Amino acid sequence: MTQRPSKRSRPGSVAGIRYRNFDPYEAYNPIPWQVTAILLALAVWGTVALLTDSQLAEPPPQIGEEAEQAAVEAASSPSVNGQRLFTAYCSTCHQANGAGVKGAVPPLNGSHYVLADAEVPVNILLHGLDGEIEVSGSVYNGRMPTFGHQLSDEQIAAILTHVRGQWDNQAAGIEPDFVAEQRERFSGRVSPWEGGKALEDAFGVADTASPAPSEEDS
Amino acid sequence: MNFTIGSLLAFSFAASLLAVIALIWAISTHQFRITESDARTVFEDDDEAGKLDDPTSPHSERLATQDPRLTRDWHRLLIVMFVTATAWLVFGSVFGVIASLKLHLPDWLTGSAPLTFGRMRTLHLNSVIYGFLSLGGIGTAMWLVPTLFKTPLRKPRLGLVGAAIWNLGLLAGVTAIARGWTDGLEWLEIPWQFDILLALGGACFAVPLLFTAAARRVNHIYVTGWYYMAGLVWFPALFIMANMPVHTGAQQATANWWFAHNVLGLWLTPLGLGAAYYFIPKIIGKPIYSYRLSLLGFWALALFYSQVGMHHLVGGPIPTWVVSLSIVQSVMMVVPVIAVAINQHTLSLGNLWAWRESLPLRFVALGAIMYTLASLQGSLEAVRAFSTVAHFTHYTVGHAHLGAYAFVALVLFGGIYYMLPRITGRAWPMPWAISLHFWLVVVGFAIYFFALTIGGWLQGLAMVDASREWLESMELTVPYLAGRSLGGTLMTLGHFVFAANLAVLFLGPRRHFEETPQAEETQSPRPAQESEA
Repeated sequence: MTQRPSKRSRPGSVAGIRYRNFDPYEAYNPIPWQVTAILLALAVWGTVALLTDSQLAEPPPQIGEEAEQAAVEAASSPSVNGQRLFTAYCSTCHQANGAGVKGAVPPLNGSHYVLADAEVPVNILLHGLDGEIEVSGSVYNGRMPTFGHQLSDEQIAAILTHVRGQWDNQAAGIEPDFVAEQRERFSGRVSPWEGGKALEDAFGVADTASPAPSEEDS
Repeated sequence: MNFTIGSLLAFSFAASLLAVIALIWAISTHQFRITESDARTVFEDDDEAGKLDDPTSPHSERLATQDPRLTRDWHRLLIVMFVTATAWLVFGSVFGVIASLKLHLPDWLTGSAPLTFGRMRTLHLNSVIYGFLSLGGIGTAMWLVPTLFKTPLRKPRLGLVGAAIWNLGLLAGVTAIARGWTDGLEWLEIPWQFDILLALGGACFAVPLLFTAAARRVNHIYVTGWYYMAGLVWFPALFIMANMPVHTGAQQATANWWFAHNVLGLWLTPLGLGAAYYFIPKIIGKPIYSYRLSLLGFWALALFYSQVGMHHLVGGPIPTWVVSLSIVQSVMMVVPVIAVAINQHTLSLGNLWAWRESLPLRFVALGAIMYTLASLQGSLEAVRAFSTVAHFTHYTVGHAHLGAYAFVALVLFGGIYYMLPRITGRAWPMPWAISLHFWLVVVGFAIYFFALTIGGWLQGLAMVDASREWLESMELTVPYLAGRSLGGTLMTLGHFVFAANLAVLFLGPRRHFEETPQAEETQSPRPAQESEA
């Protein structure tokens, strides 16, 4: 408020107010029906969204007989199990089609590490990777998690059998016993492999995969 | 395990939904029986008037316009709150401008670690959130809660102690951040050792307000009181839980975003909405549209907001259902936002004369509109299809400022312009500066917001396009980032104008503040129509 009301120019009321003794209160008007309609519409949408999202994101947990049946199924055809495990543990980064993410995550499809002697992919899964690695002509420098503590020999074997036989890959499957052997072989190892160089030192798999086929498959 | 927690959270959505539907049913079938006289916060006879006009008191020249209940310590506390809040605002916005400039002038001020982007941005955030918005918001509450409850503020000295502890804690916290010592979590950067000071200071703020509420001389609590009382409960719970060193890994990220978003929705929003719910009707002199909508707006916020934050972790290493639930709750926030919008905007937009007449109303009513826009935008941003593009871009930064700045800060500016003459009995020395402040921050913010929104969206489109180089998504934002710096500089200039006005108010020659004379005559604006209850 300026000093003299007569001198007030617009905006006239600097700290202004219309009625000095007015105290704010609320009238008692009804809630417009549109608000209730929006609420109900959103409630329906929310319920549907939650239901569909939960189906998309993860297979519903199986209990009792159903679970047993699924376990039997999984045991009789490991590829089903491998596919599921791959989706759960690997596909977020390596993508469902095994193509990886350009510049960030190496591809699995056609990777000479995946197709190398079984000991190479098994040990990558068991211990993880941390450092530079060249796959299909591109250099990656990321961190592959260590799955040795999290996954059993059977699960690792199933995942790798799946990955090595999927897409364009045509390498032999891997048995759980072999994974157990490898687990024993490097049982002293506590850190991930330090990139392609460490893998070359340990397994003789070529560090720089030039376009020329360096391993059993190209 | 997942199943149990997942169903628990789904249950919480269902429970919130049922609660809101039950509330609407209860309201529409008159389960809440309030009378018109309850709905008005009845002004009891002002027997304390004149009591403080003691000629020996240091405020003997106090005018009738100054709240007669204002005690000396309460008066001092309010001034301390608003002055320190303004100081934090000025510091914080300077840091913000520096951080903004660094995004397109990366080689500028690289000489010392405290001046690097990471620290400047963090100093900006903590100064404005815990300094300006929190102190200013609590200061407003310390004026409004006693005013609404028709009783002086109780234990104002404890509040003064709280102000000292809070400011020292924050000063120590930002100094630590400048020196590179942080807790390493966004919004929780202040080392926990200093967070203890903030928690103590916050408790010293809460106790006087709670005692005042307990001693209230009105039966019906006006909607502003609900928001303030709830915020007082929510913020300490959030702050203490999020700072407990029990969260690790992905859980920590979840707790982090749970906190960071709830600071906006369950702390700054109640502070801003509570103030807007008071100032808009108070200045215009007409009531809020509907008590029932107030109920719906308040309870739907309380029920839906707390799980909103995790939509920031979309695509992150946490279970999908956590994010899904968060997205659904975010979208449900449309309900309380519409309820508040109808209540506040029907009044402010139906009385456009008041926008011309009153500068404080301009700030507050515009801020309230920005709350509606920011919230609706936030609900949209939470949806996966939208966040695919907008997430991890400058778009999000624009949105954050729409909520925290265009809403909360504008409401606080308006509130401070309204309150300080009544607290001090002094008129604003430079009325033109208020107008200048308004236009600087409005124009500045418009440039800021549109630059980031457009630039951020283009950046997002470039990032999701696998055929384009990532660097391209950075380069194309440069002109927009320069625009953001321009807007931010204008806003900061506005803050300097604001601080200068405040300084002259206290230090310059005294100019008495009086209400407009005609306001007294045109009294009893109470509508004649009887309410249906």
